Amino acid sequence: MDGWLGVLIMLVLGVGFAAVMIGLSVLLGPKNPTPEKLAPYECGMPAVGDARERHSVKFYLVAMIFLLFDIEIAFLYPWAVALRDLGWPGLMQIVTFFMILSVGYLYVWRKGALDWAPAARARNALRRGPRKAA
Amino acid sequence: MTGEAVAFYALSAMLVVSALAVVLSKNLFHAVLWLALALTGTAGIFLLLDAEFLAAVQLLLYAGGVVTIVVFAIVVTERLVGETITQTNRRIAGGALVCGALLWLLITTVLERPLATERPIMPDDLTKAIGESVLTRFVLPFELLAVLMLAALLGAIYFARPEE
Repeated sequence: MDGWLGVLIMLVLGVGFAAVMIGLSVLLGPKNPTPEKLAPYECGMPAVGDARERHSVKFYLVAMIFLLFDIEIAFLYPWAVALRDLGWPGLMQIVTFFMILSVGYLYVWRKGALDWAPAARARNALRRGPRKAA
Repeated sequence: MTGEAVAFYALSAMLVVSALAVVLSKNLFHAVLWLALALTGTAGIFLLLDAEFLAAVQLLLYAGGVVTIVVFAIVVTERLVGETITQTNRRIAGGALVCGALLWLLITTVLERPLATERPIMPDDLTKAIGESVLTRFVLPFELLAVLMLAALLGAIYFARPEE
């Protein structure tokens, strides 16, 4: 547990600084609210609709892919620390682990889950093009 | 009281408060934010146990990844966005029975043996020990984990497949 005092001091200073600044702003700042100031997003145009609307399910997919490859990366650390003792067998095993997940990566890529709107549209247009002509 | 004990009690208080807030907040999004704090507190407990790798993984995967997934799950689900959830169930009697049984089980188990006051001796370098055991003794579960993650990925793609 040695060596973490610095982290603790950093945490306390960070949280404390933010709290003091927000607190001072609440206590000392002048309050003169107008409807424009209270709008969640002020850009000159009146806001339309609700910010809490349903978003594309692709965001969820991106989060899922991120988490899975995050786990994959996390397993690299203990292997890297024990690299010398594990030798070639360890390398083969971690490569196997990566190969299995690479199948998923290739699948995600080929399925077009990594393409965002313009690329996906272009791909669909390409796919549909010949069918329409026929 | 040593610094370690002070840190433990502070972290425990934070954990209990944030875990209660997760199940008591009416706003689903606030519950997720409290969950992030609870998971970060768990990372602190791991740090106190000299398990730096577990603490880092806890922050990276749980406080980072899982919380992101839950937030995105809320954002992409129309029914859940901005939803106020009720935290009480109508079947209070059954819930109380299950909770009481669980509490009784936990208390009797804890009282059966004296609590360990000394921390068991850990390997010098826990990260290295984890790496060695994962890639030698537990190599089959480790490779199966890759298959499981592959299945999770394919399942996610299937359910959230882009509109054809």
